[in-house]
Amino acid sequence: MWRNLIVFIVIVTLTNALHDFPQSSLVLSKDVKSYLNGISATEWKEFADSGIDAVDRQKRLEKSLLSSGITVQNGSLSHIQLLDSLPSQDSKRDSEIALKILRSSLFVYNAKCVPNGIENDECRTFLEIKSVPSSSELWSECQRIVKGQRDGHRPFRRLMAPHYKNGLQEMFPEDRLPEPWPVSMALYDRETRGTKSKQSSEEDTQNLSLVQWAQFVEHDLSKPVVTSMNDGWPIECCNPNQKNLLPRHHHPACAPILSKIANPKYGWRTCLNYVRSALAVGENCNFGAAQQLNQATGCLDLSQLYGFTTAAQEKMRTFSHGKLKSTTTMGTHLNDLLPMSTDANEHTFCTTSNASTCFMAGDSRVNRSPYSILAYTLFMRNHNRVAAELGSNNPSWSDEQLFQAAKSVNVDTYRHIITNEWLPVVLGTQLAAEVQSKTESPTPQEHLSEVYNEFGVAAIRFYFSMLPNVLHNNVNADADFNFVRTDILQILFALKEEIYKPRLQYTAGKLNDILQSLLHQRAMKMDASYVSDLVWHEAIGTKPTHADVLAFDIQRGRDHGLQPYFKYLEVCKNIKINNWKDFERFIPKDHVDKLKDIYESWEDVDLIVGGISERTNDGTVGPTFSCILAEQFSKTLQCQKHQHQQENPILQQSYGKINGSRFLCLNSMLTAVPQNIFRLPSERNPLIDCDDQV
Amino acid sequence: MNKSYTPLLLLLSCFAIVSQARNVIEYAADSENTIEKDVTAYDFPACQIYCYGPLLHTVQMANIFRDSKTFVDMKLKKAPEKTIEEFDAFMESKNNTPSDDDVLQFVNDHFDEKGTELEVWTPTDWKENPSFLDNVHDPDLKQWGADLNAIWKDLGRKMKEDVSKNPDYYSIIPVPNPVIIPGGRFIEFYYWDSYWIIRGLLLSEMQDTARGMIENFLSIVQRIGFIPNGGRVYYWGRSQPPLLTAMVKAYVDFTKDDLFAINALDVLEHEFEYFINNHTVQAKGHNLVAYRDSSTGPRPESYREDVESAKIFDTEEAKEAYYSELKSAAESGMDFSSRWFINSDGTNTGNLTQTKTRSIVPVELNAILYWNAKMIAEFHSKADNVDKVQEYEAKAHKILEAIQAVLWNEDVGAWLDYDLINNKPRNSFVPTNLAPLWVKAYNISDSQKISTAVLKYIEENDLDTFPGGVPNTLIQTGEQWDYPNVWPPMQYILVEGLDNLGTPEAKNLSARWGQRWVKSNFEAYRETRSMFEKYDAEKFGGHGGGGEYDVQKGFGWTNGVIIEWLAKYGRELSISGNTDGAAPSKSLISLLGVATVALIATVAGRYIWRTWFK
Repeated sequence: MWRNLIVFIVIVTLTNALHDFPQSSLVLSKDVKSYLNGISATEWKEFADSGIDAVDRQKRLEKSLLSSGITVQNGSLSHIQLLDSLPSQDSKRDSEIALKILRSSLFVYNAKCVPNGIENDECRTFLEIKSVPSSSELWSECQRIVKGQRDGHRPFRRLMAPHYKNGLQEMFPEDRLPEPWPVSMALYDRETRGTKSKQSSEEDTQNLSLVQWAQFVEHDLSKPVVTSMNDGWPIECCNPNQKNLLPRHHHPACAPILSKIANPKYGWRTCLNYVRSALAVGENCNFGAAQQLNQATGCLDLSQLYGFTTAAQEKMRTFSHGKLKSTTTMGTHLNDLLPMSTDANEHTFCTTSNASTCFMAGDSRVNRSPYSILAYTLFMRNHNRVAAELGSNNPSWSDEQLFQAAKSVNVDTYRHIITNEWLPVVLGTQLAAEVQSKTESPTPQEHLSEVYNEFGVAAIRFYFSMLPNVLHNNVNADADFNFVRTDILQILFALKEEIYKPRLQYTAGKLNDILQSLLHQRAMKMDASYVSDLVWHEAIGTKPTHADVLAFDIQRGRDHGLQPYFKYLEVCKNIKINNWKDFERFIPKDHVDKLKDIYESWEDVDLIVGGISERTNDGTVGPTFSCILAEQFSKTLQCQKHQHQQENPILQQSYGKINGSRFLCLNSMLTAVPQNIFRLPSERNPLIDCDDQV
Repeated sequence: MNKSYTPLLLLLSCFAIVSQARNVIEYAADSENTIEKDVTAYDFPACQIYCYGPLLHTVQMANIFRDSKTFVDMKLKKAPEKTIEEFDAFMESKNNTPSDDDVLQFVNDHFDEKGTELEVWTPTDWKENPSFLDNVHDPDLKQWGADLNAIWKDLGRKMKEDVSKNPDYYSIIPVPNPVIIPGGRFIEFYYWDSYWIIRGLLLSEMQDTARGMIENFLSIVQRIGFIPNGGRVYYWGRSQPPLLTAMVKAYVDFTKDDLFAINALDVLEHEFEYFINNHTVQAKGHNLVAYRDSSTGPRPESYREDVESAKIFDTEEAKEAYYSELKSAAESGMDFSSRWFINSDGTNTGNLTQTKTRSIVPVELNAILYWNAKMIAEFHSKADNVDKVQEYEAKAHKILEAIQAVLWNEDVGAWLDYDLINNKPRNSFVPTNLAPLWVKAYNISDSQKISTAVLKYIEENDLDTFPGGVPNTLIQTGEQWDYPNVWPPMQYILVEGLDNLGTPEAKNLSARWGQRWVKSNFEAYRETRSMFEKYDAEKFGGHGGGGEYDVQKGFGWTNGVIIEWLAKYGRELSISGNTDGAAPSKSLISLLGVATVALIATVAGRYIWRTWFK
């Protein structure tokens, strides 16, 4: 409508070392400003009260839902998803207050902005500088959170302003954007059943270790969690047959992933759970748009292993000799496994209660797959190895001293490998070097540990594209790099069988086989078609037996209010996109054609979809994801430098400076590993004998 | 029989409905003070398929259709008896345990698509530029009014000829004249919806269509004895808030055709007496009316949902009683709501299974019956039937006394539903708590006192804090007649009621709410080009949700209310201006110049909107 014309948009660019992401900030027109400034203190208080009432009213609905059994059932598909995004008590509390503030903002939006033709962005801009009235209980509750120890529940930051239908939190409806599941279905490579085209070309030498570490880094830096019911119960948005629920059972936080209507005559749609992400209050306790909560901490600090909070860390410690808990078997620390979960009835680590091996760590995602179990195990072993060594060198040290020292060394080793070895393979050596060399930054210290939405729910998720359905047994791969044909290899495990229900008989030997095999298995090609076990591509109407990762990521990107793909591309490449054709510089033409069939407009393409569609040049991912990853790591690595100063450099000198191959040798029974552990062994990346290293 | 109905009856005879009367024993309510009556209801042959029995049970429980209403709106391929015969054989061949796919096959073999009995009908009296549009000054609102007027053409339905030849093959109740339907899944006429539809039609100068719909209802009373919830045989045990007399009144007010009302008097009296005879309960020594139902089993159109929720009851008897409560709630039109929940502690906490509609004396039903008696008396006075005038004035007076004694609550400042189980008023907000203002079921001399009390009640319940209209209750249960849903007929009752009250404060609030409603509906329409059956109190321009089916578009009563209020407020209302007082927007628009903007809006608006509805 013509009202658009009245808004004067001034884009202020904040300087960033690597790229200039515009923080679109409006200068409100005088009329709008004076009208909104005219809202009386009494009214502000009323809006806050309305927000509180609205959230409190939901409690009654939640009681009804629970009495009808509408919650996540143990062992269900939704349970798997829940473990991926399991909120802590602190997160739940933070989210509830944030939700009340958001609902108050929505009352202002609906009562003052929409009826007067004030644009969404103007309304949000105004709200964002307006703090919750101090006369409201919301103010004190919010202050309690922001002034307290806020580990493991901070808001994600944004590279760009939020993109919502109402500017604040509402996702775009299906008549405005194609729904995530149909998008994922359309991207699935039906002809090859998601296998053949996924084979990388010979030049791509990344192995599955790269993928595994990407997942491990994700667990460290990003953990969006789901909204919960007021009394803590998880929310379910589908019925037990994976069909859509009756409207009466629809929780306001539900945004289920739905198939197209299988047959209009019957009206059913297949349903995968999606609960909107938990929220976090802003540091100033202001009104404004939804800010999603990150339960992970934004520094490379192995919090996924040690726990995001001090309390969680205590659960992982033995309080003896500085060691982490483990399941020890006979012999060396190389046989140690992660500690077993003791919460068999609460199902916070695995979906099945009869899993013989359900591991425990600082993050519920440890049992996500054998890849994650292995990664967590290696770092647990490394901690205990260092603690033992420190203990014998410093017999007088207390448990606390040993623990802190070992942790510091362990984290340093991890950072070292990520920064110097993993990042160059992902971003390409040039960009990785740029990121590393960045020392000065205008970012305030307290922001350094925050994580971008665009990183957490889009860019870092690239690795799913490179995951295969199965890990082959490459234990006998020979040193001459003559790979055995995969079709005659044994399968070590099928990924879809292992998600949060460890069935493998985990022994040190088994983990060794997995490690050996993933170093020797080529990662799938980085592109927009995921393998069949990661997406649900069967005929519409069949009951899904596993989730659809891509549909989930698309939906979550929208939930978090990410801008469409082209906006990031424009900033990252400093260009202007005007049509589909302009994408062809970055995305193969036949793939652009595919996207044209899916999206009505090039302006609609989701960030995750555009990101995985791009051609890759130097590193592993395309220009847009590279750019976002670089942006994130330039922050994260500063956080690392900042923390470094508080730790013991002498220790790190003597224990920490080991590279990836040495790390693997020291913590497994492997006899030889590739020099660069993120690439397949080859003449340029020879296998190194572990005995030579130690 | 009234002689004046001969032409109508002749017309009806074409339908040759073979129906047998049968007696249904009125339910035994929990409360002892219910007056039990025998109800005479008609049993349609199609009922053995669509209303009850093993076929209905088997199909509905097979989970074939997401919306249970789909099946009961499908057409039979063979006669009901033949279909039952084949169904019995089918069940035997499947050892009485057919798979869902078997049942699907049976349905496909024996039923045609739903909704084949009606065809789209363009009202013959439709006018391009009804005069109410002249009252609307804002160009966008005027265009919207024109669009709403055009939607009548989309909602017009006429029964196909085959329906009169083979009524047993359909669940539809045949009627002589074309109708305007609500829209969406509601593909047949509904009783109380039609009141607001008919008012909208009258303002749209479609008197023939309006009269035709009223005559349909009159004919149904003559055939069946009462008006079912909607035009389907499966609604056979329940009515809806009885607004037929009010429809006649609206028609006569618009057309000045007093004779129409006079001729309808017999039927109107019959319907009035039917309600009194079959719905009366006693509270504090007064006779009042409550909703009820006279059928057995789950609601056919929501069969599976009812069976599922009834699982918590152990005995068949308890389940049957629960079904009756649900169907009684359906009779109220408010299906479902915490308004009807009575928990063991006498409060409205709990869920659907605590529904006790039959034990609640509802404010609006009693107010409407008072109003009916008053209107019947008024029509009789037009015919100079002095005795009848006195008779119905007396009946009205009795009801008013009962409302005053049992439902009015001085302390609270509103009328309250009455709980017959715990013998106490239910102090929980529902818009119907103010329904007596709408039909003037109070002593006019008390207006000032009532106004003060009611405005305090509104203030205490924060009813003015919702940008999207006054919610139906303040309790969120997931049911569609609860928070945050806002319903057009309830906004109408509130706004017109406050207007009737006549004090400046009440009239002021009435205008604010009425205009807010129009603007909010416009915002939703601007964005979606749709009119919804229900809206969301928290959102300016947001539609509702909850309940058993997805939100419906169309939509009869919504359009009726908006047309009436466009006519009422059109001269003063502007969507770009702000009538709340603060008014920044006028100056916003002046930046570009009002005239230019208005011109662009009108031209662009017409272009976009025209193509949308073709």
